[in-house]
Amino acid sequence: MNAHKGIAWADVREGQDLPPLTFPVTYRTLAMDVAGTRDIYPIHHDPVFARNNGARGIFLNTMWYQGLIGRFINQWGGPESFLRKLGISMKAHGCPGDVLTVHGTVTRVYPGEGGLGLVDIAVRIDNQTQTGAVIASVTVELP
Amino acid sequence: MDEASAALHARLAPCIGVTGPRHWSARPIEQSAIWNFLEAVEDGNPVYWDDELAASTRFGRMIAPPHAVFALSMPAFWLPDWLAERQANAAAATPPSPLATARAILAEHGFTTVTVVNREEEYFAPFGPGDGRLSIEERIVSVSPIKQTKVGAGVFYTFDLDYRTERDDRLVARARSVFLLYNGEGAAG
Repeated sequence: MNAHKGIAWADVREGQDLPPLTFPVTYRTLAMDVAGTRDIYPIHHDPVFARNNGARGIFLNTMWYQGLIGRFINQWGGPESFLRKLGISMKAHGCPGDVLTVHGTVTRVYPGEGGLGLVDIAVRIDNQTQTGAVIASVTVELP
Repeated sequence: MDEASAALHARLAPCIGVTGPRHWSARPIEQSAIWNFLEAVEDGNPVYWDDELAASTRFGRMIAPPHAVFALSMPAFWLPDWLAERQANAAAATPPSPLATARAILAEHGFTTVTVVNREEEYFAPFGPGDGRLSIEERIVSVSPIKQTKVGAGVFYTFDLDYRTERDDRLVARARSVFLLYNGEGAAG
């Protein structure tokens, strides 16, 4: 697994920043969101329904953000990392045309079970106009 | 609490804190469904994609992204009539779900539009293809008084879901969600 090695728990420090991840959102993203999460609630694919219900347009669902945050954490932690907790708060909708940037900062490093380590990470997703469009807190297990 | 909220809460009370009947994801945990989920966010973690690489990790096999429990337990879009009828008969033979009962009461107030405000998940153990379906047990934690939000009048509705694998009946995840259920009257245009 050398080609995909992630960070070791012993090398993680409180206050450390994870490498940011940028994701441009398009209609294609929204279509892949529906296909990947099997969520056919019209607010995620029908612009008229979305606008009639107070949104700027169709927007990404919670499951998509869960996926993006999982990717962001595992890319840093590597294939031996395992998410233990993911809490997510939606503050603004993510619509086609938005550019999202995921930021993460280590807030706590502590021992877990079975010789594994735990790391708490504060995650924030910004879009081009708003800081903190999505706020998340993560606990990840690392060897 | 205002009178309308108090009346609503009196009707909802029997649904709160009660664990509903166990129900099952429409489909088993499958590789192709996992890959569809990963494609949407372009996640290339090899433990989700490659048998051989995954077997060399501490997981010993391909696993699902644990944060895909919600996506992997979505209902079917469509079923043939005879299967839909079979499911309806099975549903009629089980006690009504407290969530379904509460949602029907809230719908009478026009609170039918859903926004996910918050979701907190905890993952207890890896799971993956070969573990069968996911079972889901649900419990309403609380319902707020009726509030005026910028998108319309509604309630904040908090519930827990416990996820177990069909194989070995393992508790693999627990999720607490807060939904805003509203009437959409504040919508522009």
